[in-house]
Amino acid sequence: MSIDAFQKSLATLVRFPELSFDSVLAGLEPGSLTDQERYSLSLLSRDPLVRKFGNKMQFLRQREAQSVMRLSLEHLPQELLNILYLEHFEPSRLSSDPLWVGVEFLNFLINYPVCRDLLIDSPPYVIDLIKYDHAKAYATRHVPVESDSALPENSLLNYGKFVIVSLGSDVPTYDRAKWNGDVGVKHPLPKDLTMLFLPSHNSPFYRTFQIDEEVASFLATQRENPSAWNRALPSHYAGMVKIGLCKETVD
Amino acid sequence: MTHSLNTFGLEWTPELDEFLSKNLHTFSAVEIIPENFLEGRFSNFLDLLRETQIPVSVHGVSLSIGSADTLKTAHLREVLKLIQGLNVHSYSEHLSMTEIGGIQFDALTPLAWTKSQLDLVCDRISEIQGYLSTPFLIENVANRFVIPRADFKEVDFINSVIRRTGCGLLLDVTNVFTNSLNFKFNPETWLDSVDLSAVRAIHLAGGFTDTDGFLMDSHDNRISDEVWGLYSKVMARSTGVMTIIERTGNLPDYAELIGELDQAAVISGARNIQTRPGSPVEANL
Ligand SMILES: [Fe+2]
Repeated sequence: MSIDAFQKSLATLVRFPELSFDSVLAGLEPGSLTDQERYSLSLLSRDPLVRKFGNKMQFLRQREAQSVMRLSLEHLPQELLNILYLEHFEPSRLSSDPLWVGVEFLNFLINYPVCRDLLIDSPPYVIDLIKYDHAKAYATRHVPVESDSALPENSLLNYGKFVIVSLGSDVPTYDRAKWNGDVGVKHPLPKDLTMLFLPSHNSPFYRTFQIDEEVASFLATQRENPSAWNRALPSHYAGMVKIGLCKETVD
Repeated sequence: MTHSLNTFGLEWTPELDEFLSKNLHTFSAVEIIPENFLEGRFSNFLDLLRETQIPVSVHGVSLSIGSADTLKTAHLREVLKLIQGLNVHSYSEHLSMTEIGGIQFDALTPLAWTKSQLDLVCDRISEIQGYLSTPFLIENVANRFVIPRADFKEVDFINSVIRRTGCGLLLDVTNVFTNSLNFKFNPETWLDSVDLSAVRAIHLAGGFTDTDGFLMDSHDNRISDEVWGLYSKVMARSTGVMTIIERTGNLPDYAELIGELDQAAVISGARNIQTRPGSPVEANL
């Protein structure tokens, strides 16, 4: 249907304001537009209002994406962020839920080879800050819904959604220092630790725990098999009970 | 004369949740964006709407009714389930598109006012109407740009949609005014041309002027005198209309919001903003 091609071309113009009319046409099957639609698109590609609209939407998406980079943002040059966001992240991600764009961008920075290459000159703690920001944003976006409020907060059943992060630097201490306004602390110091982030009913809507490798691998295995959350926890994971992660259940 | 009673209310936002929950009796109508209530969010407010049976304008923002994608029936069903038990006045969506083929615009994007677009949007609306037991309304949007080489003027396109589908109009008076400034036309002529008999609800809001002189429909300012003037012209020729003020940013004192609704009531010749269809006060009118 030609209107389908017309609308997709318009969407491409809006999503990528720098794209030329010829590049937009290059993405279409020959003959998929009527002459009227083709002419209309050629005018739209030169319309400053279309470009303004596209730029504004792109600016808002990037601002939203960077809004969750609480600790990492100041350790990354904006120029590098622009390259990572505009040239690598945006084109790969045409559908965007504003609630998740930040989490997805951080996930992109952590996992995609192009980001690893571009971040290679950054100090080693930068990737830890990104992982920490990601875990926090992910957990807070999974705040249990009101209908879950009857479930005990300590129950693991509540938390199919959680993040485990392995860090090579002491980000929690750095986070606390920042929170307390201690300007003397410039960056986190080296330290190996594994952390668990859980969504929570209460402000600030996440809880964090330092966990050992055994607990981390147990949780990772459980996540692969959601139905396992209904089973009683093996007794040798009693350590989890101690840190308030779950209620011990009896077989 | 129940049908002829005008009603007045605010659009619910998370910031207004507490105020509206405590003061719902102050209003004769309320508007909700159902997407804000999915996954059990703010269910207390929905419970209150069920309990009070206040007339509710359900204003959807996700169906992208102008796009050539297939209708998101799962989403529509989910919303219909969510609003069960509410006294639904109407279900509305913007006459625009927000996504196409997996590409999101992130904002309301104008439609081409062409014959093929008219066929497409009318088919889509008829399909939606098949799911609804309440009136479906289209809302005229603030155009960020206009698609050239159209077959119709915007107002004729809207009238054709109304005529072909029997849908109603959620007339956003602020959007008419905004477009008239940005695209240089006379808003009164536009209002003279639109099918006012289809108007079931009205949106009023305030915006700001961007650095390039473009007026933005940002819902974060007082309603301008010009918009009030256009509103009074519409209300002089309309009855049984729900007026909703949209205020989503830069929240003023609540008294200011109520004051704006009072002004709407005065202009509409209503006794106050509280009187609901079927209430004893109305019976005495
Ligand atoms: Fe509106």
